[in-house]
Amino acid sequence: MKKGFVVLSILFLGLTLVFAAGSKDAKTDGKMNISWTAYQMAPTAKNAPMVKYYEDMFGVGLDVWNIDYQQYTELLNIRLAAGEIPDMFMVMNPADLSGYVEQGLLAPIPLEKIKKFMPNTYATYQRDFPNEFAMGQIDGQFYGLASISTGNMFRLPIIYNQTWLDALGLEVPTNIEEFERVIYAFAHGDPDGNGKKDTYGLSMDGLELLWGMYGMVPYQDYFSVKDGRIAFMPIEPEMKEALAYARKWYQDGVLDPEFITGENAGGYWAISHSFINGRVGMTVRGNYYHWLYPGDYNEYDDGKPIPNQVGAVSKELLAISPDTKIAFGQPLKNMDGTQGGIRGYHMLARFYGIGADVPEEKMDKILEILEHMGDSNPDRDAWATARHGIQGEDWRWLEKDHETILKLGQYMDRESYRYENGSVFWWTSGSELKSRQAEWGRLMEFDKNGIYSVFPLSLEAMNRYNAQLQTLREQAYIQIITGARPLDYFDTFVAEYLKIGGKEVIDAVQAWYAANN
Amino acid sequence: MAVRRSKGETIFLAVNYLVMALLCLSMLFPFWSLLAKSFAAASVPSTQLYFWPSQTTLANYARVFANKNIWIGFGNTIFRTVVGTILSLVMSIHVAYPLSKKYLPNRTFWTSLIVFTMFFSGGMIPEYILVRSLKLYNSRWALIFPILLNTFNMIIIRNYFMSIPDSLEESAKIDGANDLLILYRIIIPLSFPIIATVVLWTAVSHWNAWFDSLIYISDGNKQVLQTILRRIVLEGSLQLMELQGGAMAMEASNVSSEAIKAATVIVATTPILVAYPFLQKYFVKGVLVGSLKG
Repeated sequence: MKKGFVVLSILFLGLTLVFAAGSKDAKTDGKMNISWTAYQMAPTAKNAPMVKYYEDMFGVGLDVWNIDYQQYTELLNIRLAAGEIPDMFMVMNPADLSGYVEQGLLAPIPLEKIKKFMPNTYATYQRDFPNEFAMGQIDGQFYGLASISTGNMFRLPIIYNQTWLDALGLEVPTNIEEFERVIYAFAHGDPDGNGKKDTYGLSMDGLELLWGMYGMVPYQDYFSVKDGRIAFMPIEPEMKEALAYARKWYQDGVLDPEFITGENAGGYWAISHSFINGRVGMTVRGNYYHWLYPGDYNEYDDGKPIPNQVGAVSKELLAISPDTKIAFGQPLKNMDGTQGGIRGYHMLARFYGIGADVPEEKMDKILEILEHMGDSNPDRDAWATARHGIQGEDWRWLEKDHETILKLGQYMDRESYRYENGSVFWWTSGSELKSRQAEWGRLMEFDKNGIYSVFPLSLEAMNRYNAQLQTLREQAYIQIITGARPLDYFDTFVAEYLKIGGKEVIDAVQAWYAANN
Repeated sequence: MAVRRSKGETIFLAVNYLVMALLCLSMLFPFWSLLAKSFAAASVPSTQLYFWPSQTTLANYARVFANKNIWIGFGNTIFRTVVGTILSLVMSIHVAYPLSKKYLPNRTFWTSLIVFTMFFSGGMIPEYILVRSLKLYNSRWALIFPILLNTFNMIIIRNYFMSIPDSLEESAKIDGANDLLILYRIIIPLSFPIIATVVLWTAVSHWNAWFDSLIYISDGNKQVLQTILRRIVLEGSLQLMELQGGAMAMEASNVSSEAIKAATVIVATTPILVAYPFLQKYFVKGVLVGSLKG
């Protein structure tokens, strides 16, 4: 017993020495050292090949902070509070920009510098994303370079169960009248042919189509312009009309009575369990590429066609019922024939700023690096190298004019490989999507009729009131839909909503809108 | 000798056993489900519940073990668990023993000074600044030193020590033993149940900890298993499908991200689960005896 303890102790001591003998990082003397924050799914090694590659290319030392992307803001704030400011300062949540500026953590970036050091990025901003670019401005000065998720030009997909439509002899609906016919048939016409009444027309996510018909996104802060003024549609009279439909559908057993708990029962977020398990016949969830079926389009390798990757939700759906076919629809037309829309994801993803007190020379260098790493770099080899690593080792082109690469080696198995390898300096400054997948998305018109907020940021008034407003909204809608309250309760709800902060929020957004348009 | 039971008693017992069995099964099932999923081939739907997948594969485990980060994580986690637990135990015992003695001058003062930290902590930012000032940032010791002394565990040990009769100490004193000798030769051997309990608590919390690794460690080679596990699980849900086309991985592999996640979780939890049964018998006793009283 005692001897064993001694042996163990020695073993532990040995272990201790092995692990404690950490590598002391040698500082690059003389060279300019830039600390860098990035969207990274795994930490980058100090001597990672791509870090070295770019250190040599730009003649600087690059110190990547390796902040976990899931906890980015929280972890960054700890370091900021401790007095550390990164030179290249990524603002993960665009709404945080104004707060950081108020605290004096970001340096203003003169417009002339953006023009001088980032000519291509600036040209793209001017041409395609002037609004997003302008949002990086506070009191007339630029603090953040807008990072744009061009993929969000594709709105939410609208999916119908084609097998059910066929069984019922119906078509994909285009207006509210046809839509009602379809969902009533889904609920009452036994579309799965099992002789049991176990199907519904739609559930929580499917309702997005109804809200969208009136240009609304009720559960999120999407602001619209109505008659030249900012309006929050979910408290306008249109919402009452929409609720009347939902209420009727609920009473008639067309809206899933369990709609309140949502369509996703855990696991991967884009999956609608209600839809893939054949409980409802239509849904609005995920992104269009989650619903890609085998053979939707082809990629090409040296002229040879390669079938497309199957979407994550389709894969699951086909594993459960291999014969189910799906069809995509467009947002519905209203009774008066006006075309409705459906929620799109915000285009503005992040801001890239520069830490306060960064000397001018260093700021120039950072802008130069960002220009190289952005989407507007005309050298597409360099562009892909920034994203995927060394050409020929980590990736090779499939179709260069479609900006599609094939992953090689370890990168094939693990997405995080590229971050470990040092591919962390790239950013999505925004450019037209050229991939075959995006081409297909445009062909299927997923880029049509999206609803976007005129104001994707956050204001002080919103931070203050949002929690209670959101709760009140959700409660009121559910009570009206389920019949716990009469439809006319909507008017009481709107009055209450404006009273507990809703008015302040709309006024604040109106003030911002007036100042910026 | 068999006990004679009335019919009512028999039914009562049967129902009891049934309910207990159901309760146990409902606790075991999530784990079993995960185990089953970890062997599932890519063609098995990941959203359905099943007792055993219709098609099985070992490819998930092959993929997990091929990931070098798993081994790095294991190394770091074993290091922090073993070294952290031993050092914690040494600290706790040496603080608890003097505090358990009624003749320690100003005992109440010292005790309340330490207990104070149980209710009020500096918060994350001061802790980060402290760790950084101690030059522990990005060092494996940053995962051990800040939680070296767990006040709660220390008090439990102290209470156990207090329950040992003073006469044992007195008789040892008469035989010429000094305080340290009494602690090592008499008190510690008598306190095995509580030590096993605290070892288990500390080891499990070290094994499961991940947030401190996110805060204090930026070097990928020093990250603990749970951080890496978390990354793999999150990465699985992101996978290729979030990418806007543009990047293809060619082979249609026989693994699905959900199954890889399950396999990773199994690999990471099994070692600590295996340790449980061996400490179990001391565990129950220790918690009962060491509980706060007086």
